[in-house]
Amino acid sequence: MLTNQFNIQKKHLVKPAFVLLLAAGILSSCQNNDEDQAPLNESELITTVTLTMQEVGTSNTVTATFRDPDGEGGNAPTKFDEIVLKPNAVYNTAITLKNESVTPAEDITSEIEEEADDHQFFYTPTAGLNVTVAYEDKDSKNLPIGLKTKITTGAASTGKLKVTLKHQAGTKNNAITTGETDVELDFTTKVQ
Amino acid sequence: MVLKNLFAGLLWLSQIPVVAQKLPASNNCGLTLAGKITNQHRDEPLPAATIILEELNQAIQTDMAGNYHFHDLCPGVYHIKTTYVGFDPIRLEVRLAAPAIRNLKLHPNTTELGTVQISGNRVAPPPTQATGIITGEALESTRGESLGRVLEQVAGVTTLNTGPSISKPIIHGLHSNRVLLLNNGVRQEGQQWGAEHAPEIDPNIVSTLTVVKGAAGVRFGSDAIGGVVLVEPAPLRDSVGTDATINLVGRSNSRMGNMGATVNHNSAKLPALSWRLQGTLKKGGNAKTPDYYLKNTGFSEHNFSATIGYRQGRYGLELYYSQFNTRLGILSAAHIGNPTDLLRAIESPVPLETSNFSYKINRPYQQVNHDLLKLSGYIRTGEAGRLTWVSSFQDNKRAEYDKHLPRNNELAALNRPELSLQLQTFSNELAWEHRPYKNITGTIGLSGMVQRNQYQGRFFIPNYYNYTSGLFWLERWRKAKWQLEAGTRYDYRLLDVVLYEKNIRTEPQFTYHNFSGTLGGIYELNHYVTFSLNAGTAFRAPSANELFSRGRHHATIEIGDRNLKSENAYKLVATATYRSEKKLNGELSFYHSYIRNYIFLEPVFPPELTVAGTFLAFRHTQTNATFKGADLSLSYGFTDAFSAQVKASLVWAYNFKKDDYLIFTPANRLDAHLRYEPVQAKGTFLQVGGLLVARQNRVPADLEPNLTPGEDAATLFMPKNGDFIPPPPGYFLLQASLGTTINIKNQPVEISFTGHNLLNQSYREYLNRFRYFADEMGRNVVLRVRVPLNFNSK
Repeated sequence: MLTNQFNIQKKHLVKPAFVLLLAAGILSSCQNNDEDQAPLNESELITTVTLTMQEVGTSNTVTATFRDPDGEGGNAPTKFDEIVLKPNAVYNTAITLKNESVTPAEDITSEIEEEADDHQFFYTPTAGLNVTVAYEDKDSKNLPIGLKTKITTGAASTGKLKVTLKHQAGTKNNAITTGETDVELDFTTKVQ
Repeated sequence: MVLKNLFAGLLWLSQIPVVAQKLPASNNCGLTLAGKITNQHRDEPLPAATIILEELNQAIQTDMAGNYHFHDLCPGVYHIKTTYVGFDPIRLEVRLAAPAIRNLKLHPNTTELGTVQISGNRVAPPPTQATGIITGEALESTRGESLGRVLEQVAGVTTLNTGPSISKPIIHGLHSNRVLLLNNGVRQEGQQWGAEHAPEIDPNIVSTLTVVKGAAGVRFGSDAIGGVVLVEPAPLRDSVGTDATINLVGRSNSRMGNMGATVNHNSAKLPALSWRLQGTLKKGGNAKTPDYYLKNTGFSEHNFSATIGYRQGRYGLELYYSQFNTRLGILSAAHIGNPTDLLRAIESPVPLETSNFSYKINRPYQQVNHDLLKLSGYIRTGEAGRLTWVSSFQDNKRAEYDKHLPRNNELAALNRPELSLQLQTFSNELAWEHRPYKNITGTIGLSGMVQRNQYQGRFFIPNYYNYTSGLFWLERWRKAKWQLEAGTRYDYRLLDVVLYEKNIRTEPQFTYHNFSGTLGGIYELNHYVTFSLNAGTAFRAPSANELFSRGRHHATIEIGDRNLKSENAYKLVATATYRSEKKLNGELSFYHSYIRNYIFLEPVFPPELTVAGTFLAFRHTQTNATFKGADLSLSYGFTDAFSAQVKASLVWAYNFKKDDYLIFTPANRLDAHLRYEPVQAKGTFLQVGGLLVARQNRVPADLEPNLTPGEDAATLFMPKNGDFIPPPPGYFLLQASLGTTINIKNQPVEISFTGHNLLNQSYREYLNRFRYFADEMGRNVVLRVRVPLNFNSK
């Protein structure tokens, strides 16, 4: 027992020294790796939504744009147009989405087109606004997409047109309640 | 002498083994004397009994299980003496040649209650703050639950939940960064700022949980505004042999299974060396309310830890490594990123998505990993005291997977988390307990920490480095019926943030200096009654999310503020304790804390317009707040077999600047049960009781919208009681449990059944973040089996 003692102590000393070195190593690895990378930016941002409305039978084109270049949380949106339409008219309408926070601006419309089976736009006028919106496009499963629509106006009126883009990955069912909301904008709309 | 030893200790710490080599190799003084002190009449362990080793004038107290240990003794003849109020003292001679165990049974003495004179001896001091301890059977009866749920047993502690699987402790109305967790002596450094970020600690490691319900800033450093939770594993074996414990838990709701095992060993060849291995596996599926399954609320967890300790002569070393890994499913119907969808989900009486039972965890989910490596040691600095040192490294990884994959198919195929955070922390603490001087004992210490946070994916908090250092000094004086404690601490913190805004790198720096103090006293009126009073301060520097968060957080916008100052808390706690041997035991404490610059989220008007809708915005704001309330715990033994237990907590939280209540404060609650333990069948019990929770009526008043001209109030969502919906009604839950110990060939097996929410009540809890969408869990029956194994052949 007594003769063993010295050996035990020697063995015992090697171990903690080793562990201490290990700990010191961890510390230095923690501090050395100092060059922070600029974090990867999410490429999912939608900054700009534009409705282009071409009046049928004329060369009249009306556009309305929403633009928030720095996305949510930062500065307020820089542009949020009113939609001004003629009464009793028909407009062939296209919607485009862009990410203008990067240069060159990223076209998100084509992304939606490619994944049409997982996306749908909904156009909901408030009560009293004499506007109807009809889908002019279909995905591979014969469900509407809403990139191309036809807007028909009635008598002069004012209200809001809610434009909603739903991401319905694998669950698309032509219902606004399904899926996650990527866009939801209330365009002030005047038929005059 | 003091200086010399201190110097030697420091040398030892700097890896130069001077001290050990100087130890005489022939002096075999590593013997241990240990044992258990029990009440002779009821065979119950007696915690906090004092044992004095006369020859060395050393005194210690038994732990919660009645165990005591004297280490580092040389062979010889010793006398030990016990003193415990209400029991006859025992004096015993012990001839020590090898490590020895002496179990002592004390005889109650109810006639004469002399004062115990223990001045001048080293005794683990009872805190002057109000504390709650969970250990032994109380702890075993919650095996398989998360740490937060286990802590709910302490009066004054409630939980903040996110669905059925994520819960974190609230102490006296405060939670998250304001509750400090000490995991095996190391400050837990995870992502505790998030309300849905549960503590990254496996409760199966624990043998004693202590909740300090005061502003304990002096001993434990910043953040301990609400209190401290000490998570302590059992000490390593100090007698030769091997023991093991197997824990099995099955739960009807979620169909959860939990398996845990622990092995302890101390070998005869090398008695100074002990080790322990511990592991846990846990898996659960979708929880069920009385009416539907909660889709995607499954979880899985696998954890392990290994400890190796060496105690020899005047010093000891311990190496500890633990790993915690969990994957937590998030209720699908609760993952909403748009206000219109949110209101639609809130209006729906059942979640918009429900499902059948499944163990599968789909998006949205969290994946959390936490590694802790700790090296600690102590060295007795001769007559001068004891020097302890703790060095630790923690690596915390948190990945949050959103419900929907990115729109871009290439990105989606990578299946990356949308938010990923890594926090690495290296910390050191050195403390010196000086030798008792007259009636004074004390500790002086210093600590330091280096921390680095990195994120990937969505921005929520920036990359940063955080450097802290602290210096503290605590002294305690005790004489006769009085104990006084005083302490002070200085903390310094430097937060160095690396920020990219529009691809421009800035490096804002924030420094914080703070002094904390504590002053407390205990007065033992007589054997039955003890009063204690503690006044303490603590501070908390604003966390990175409070300074920098900006952007969407679920269906709201959260905005940080770089100009936030530190929070300072001043807390006063008064406690009266009554202990009689059999009949009545109880504790009543009142607390009042004032928090200067209390940081909270305040709604900002008008709501924020974004491409994805009009969001309610919340900004991190400061106010002066007060939290006050009372905790009561009482037990009464009608007979030897029948007893009743009652626990109640009340808290008022008030915002002085707004002259209004603070949001998300726990409601009044009362927990009571009757217990029957047949005297002839030890280890058998039947318990029936309930939990009564009132509706929270102390909530912020509704706000008047200040509309911009032309805006229509009807289309604008206005918070109700500062929230999306008002608080839910109160509820009552019936609970019962039944347990026994059976012996299979001399092998004890402890079995118990516990039923929660036995009436299958549909209810919602104010402090569950998913109460907007779904009910709480329905009936739940838990089976627990515990097998303590002992392999000591000798």
